[in-house]
Amino acid sequence: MSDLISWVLLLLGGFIALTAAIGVLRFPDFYSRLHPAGTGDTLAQFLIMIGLLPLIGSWVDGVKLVMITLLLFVTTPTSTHAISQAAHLEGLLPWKREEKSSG
Amino acid sequence: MRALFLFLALCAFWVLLSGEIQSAYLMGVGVFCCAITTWFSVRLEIVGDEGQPTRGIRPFIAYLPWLFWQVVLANVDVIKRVWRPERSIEPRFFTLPVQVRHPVAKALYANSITLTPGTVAIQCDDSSFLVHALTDEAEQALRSGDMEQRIQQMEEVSV
Repeated sequence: MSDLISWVLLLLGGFIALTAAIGVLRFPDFYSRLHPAGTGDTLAQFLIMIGLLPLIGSWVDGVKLVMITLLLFVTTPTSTHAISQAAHLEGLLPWKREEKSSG
Repeated sequence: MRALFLFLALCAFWVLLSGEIQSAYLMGVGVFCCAITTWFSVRLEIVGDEGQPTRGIRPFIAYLPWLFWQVVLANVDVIKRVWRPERSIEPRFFTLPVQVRHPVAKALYANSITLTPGTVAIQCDDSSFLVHALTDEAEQALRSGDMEQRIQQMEEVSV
């Protein structure tokens, strides 16, 4: 039973990580690519880490997994902010839809 | 007092990560490392209200499940837009007025915005954030001020 839960969570996490990669390729510019990359950093890593929990034996390793998850939840916004601010300070402009002008 | 608390927290963290309480060597080295770290922190003057905002810890824990649910919802939205055949995104910059003042609350707000896919806090000034949003819905969700209200409640408790 715990194996099944684990597999579902891991597959779901893997699917979201794949989605993040495809999103990074599909979206038009630097700023919009930050958003799908964010899904890989948050939900995908969370699902994979939680999916690994039932598979490991000792509680010490479990605590480490949870710690890594929490650490990533704190550090990824910080690094995302750092690179996006660097791009903004460099004067990179965001992509705009060309066909129809929308506010 | 705060230094002592930091020392004890570091020791607890060490035991949690090493998982060995039998080995006298590991425990001895652990206490030594925690003492050194605490001493450095005191010398660097990072032991204080900003580094350890202990008073707001209970509302913060209450905030986490809500934030997590928002992150899940935003994730689902971005994932849908990635798989949709036509481009369904309207990326834009906008300036978000910010009412929270406490530096820890502002950092938490900016981090929450960035953690939620669909919005990224780019530039943080005194009274506003420059935010990049992927869609109009994401922009409106932030403008509604729901997230900020929750952080403001936390700020009121802790200041």
